[in-house]
Amino acid sequence: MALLINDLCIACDVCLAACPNKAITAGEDIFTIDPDLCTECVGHHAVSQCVKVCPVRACVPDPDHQESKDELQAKYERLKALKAA
Amino acid sequence: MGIREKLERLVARMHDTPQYNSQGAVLFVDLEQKKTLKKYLPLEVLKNFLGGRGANMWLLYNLVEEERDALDPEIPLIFGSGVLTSSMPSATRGNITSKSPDSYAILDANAGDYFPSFLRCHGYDHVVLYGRAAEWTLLKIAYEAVEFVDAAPYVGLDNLDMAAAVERDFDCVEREDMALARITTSGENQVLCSGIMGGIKAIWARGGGGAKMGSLKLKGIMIHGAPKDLQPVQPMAKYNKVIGKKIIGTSVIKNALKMVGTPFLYKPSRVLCALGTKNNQQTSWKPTLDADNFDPYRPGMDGCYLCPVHCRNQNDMTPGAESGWGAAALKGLSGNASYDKAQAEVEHGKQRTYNGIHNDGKFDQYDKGDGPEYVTVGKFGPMIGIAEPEQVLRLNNILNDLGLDSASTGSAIAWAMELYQRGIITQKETGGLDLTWGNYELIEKLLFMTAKREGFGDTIADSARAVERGKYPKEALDYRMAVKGLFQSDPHDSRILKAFALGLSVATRGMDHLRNRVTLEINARINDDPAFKTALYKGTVSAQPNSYEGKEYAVRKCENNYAVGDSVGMCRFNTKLFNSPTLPDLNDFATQLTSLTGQTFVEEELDEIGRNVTGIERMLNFRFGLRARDDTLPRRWFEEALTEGPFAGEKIERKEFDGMKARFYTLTGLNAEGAPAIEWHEKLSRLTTGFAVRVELPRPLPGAPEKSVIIDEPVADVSALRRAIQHKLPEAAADLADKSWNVAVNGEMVLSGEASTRIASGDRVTLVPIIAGG
Repeated sequence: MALLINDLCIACDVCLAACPNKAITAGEDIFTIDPDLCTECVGHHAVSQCVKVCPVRACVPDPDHQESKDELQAKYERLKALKAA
Repeated sequence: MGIREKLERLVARMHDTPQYNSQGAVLFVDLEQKKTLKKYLPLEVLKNFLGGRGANMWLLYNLVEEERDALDPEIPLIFGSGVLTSSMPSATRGNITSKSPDSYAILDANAGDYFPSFLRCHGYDHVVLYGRAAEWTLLKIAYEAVEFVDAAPYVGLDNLDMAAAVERDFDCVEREDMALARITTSGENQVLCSGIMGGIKAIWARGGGGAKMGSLKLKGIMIHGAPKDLQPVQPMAKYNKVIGKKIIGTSVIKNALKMVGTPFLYKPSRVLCALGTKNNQQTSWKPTLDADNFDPYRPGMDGCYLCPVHCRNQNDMTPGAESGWGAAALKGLSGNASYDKAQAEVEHGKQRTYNGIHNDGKFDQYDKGDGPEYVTVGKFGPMIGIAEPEQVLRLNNILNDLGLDSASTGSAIAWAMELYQRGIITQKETGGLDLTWGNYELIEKLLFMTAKREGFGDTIADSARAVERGKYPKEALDYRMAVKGLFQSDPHDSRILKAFALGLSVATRGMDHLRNRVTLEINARINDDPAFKTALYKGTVSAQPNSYEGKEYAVRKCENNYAVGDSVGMCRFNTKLFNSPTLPDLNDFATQLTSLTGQTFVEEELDEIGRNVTGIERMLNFRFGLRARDDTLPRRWFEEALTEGPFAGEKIERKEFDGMKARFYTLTGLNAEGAPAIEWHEKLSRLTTGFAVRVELPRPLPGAPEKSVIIDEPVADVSALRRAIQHKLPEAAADLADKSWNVAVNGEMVLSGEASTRIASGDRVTLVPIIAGG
């Protein structure tokens, strides 16, 4: 599944640079993750980078966007192809 | 009594199961016998010393034999993570603790990155290492599994190669599913100014931890496996948001640390003419090292585990590298130029010109890396006469790979350069090396020689102990910028700011700003608000930076706050009083400690715990032979006045300093020898060793100005007690040998059978001079 940022977020911005998919957008109060761009770092890293760096553990699974590892891998391939094009 | 006997006695007081929520174990590791033991600390350690640095001291006090050399394998090396490490934003830290091979005091160094958090996430709060391994060893910890791995393939590797080799051999990635505390060749060669690396740049730097780990033949400690998902308990999670907001809402964090890192501090010290230059012979240096001159080579920032700040500036001088992160971020920040507001607008427009260190278009691994911190800019800039930012960057990257403490190494080189300048040493002693100030080629070469202990590098490797190891004549000590045998940690010449000076003199690990620095002494807004300043430090502190009045209050309060910060694992930069009065404070820590451990804590208790931690450190230092005379400053600061800047003519007046130090002792609860006064000493002893006997003396003795002494090494009878008193007060040996002093136990005179007269903790013993006659 994709990840989401809950209201524990402190808008510290350390997840921005860590996200390999550029799926995170800054906000005044909390940041947001675009589920269409989030692969949970599948294709890039063994560990989800925003989860790894978030100091308040506000990056959690998004129950509305449940995806299997294969689906996330496919999403990664699609995004990669789009980027190359 | 050897460490194994001491350990047996200690673990009898420990437990097989956790004593409070979230408690991790203590892992005892006998490297010589390849044995491990897992135990839990008693609850009273948490309640009186917390964890991390505080609990490390508790362990060291119980296990150390003070007479042994610091590099003796029976002297333990202790890793400890804070109670809140990995559970609170910016609580990423852990300490290493031992007897220092570099200084004459405790070894206690603090670092972050990922290792301390991984250690705690794997279920351990402390690792106690002792015994010399038969062969070089890599200790591998993965939750319950602990392995002694042959480290032969890693011997001879420095920091970057060591991490890469472990990643390759164990199919893991540092900071993803592995954390590694390791030594480099300098640690293998027991270089006294070597540290233990915890990442590309993270280092337990001060006091010679690298040499200590090398003496155990321990090349690294690997924590293998990504931390399991540890969601903090709900009240903690909510309050972590409050703490996180406090941190990132603080001006100095937002505008300086997140943008350029600690090098922003160079300009304020330079403008004040308080920048240690050429071994503190001068105090001002060139603006070429102001932080904005590093803008063209700064691709971004990095940070420790679960930290919202990311204060670690990266550098990349190779062609095509990204750059410009934080460019011009400091422009207009008047708070960063208190003594010359116009300086806040000054920018140098530095361009990227680097073309290899020899300007030949050739680049290598040292042309990129992490850092530098302000300390490295100062010690490898003005302190040794270097003015070019590219040269500082490269030296920084080499230091990180060689695992050298930039503070002690830079100071050792500056000391050598002044001795060379004065003719106290010549090319005969340096092996033909030209130690002229600013000689970049020589300095780069000397770092590699130091790590290998080659040629004159062997002298630098002996750090502040070069005189006692016969490398320099005794007169060299006149120019050694050290306290308690530890070189100054930071570049700030503290002849102006008397609170800084007091802090450096009384810091328990030696001349180090991170133990008690009253950084806000140069904050004009605080100085202009006496009521606020008084409330901040719990006492009236003069607004004048160069006044001696009331500075003891500020140092005491900072020392308490920082000791607690280290013991919960909080980063110093994000602890109230170090960078700002608005950062997380003891009340915040108390709230989160209560939520996490299920034990109740309040702010005032934590303040007292901070004092306890420094108290036990002073008791350890007393055992290592340090006395009030060692709470001092380098000769130069008492005898040579500043020659430039707004405070030209300023120095440390010895009488004023002595008065300030005496007030600090009284406020802290220390006796005239700088040790905890008798009631407090007795309490700390009972809490630490579980044994305390108070002995009243016939008169004040050397080392015992209060006419009494606490014996806290468990003894069984009066004969053993007599030996323990002599052991505790070696300088009073002649007095204590007086055979006319009888012993009374709880008021009962012992007239015979001392060896069979039992002594128990809590007894009151009196030495009574007998008047013989008819």
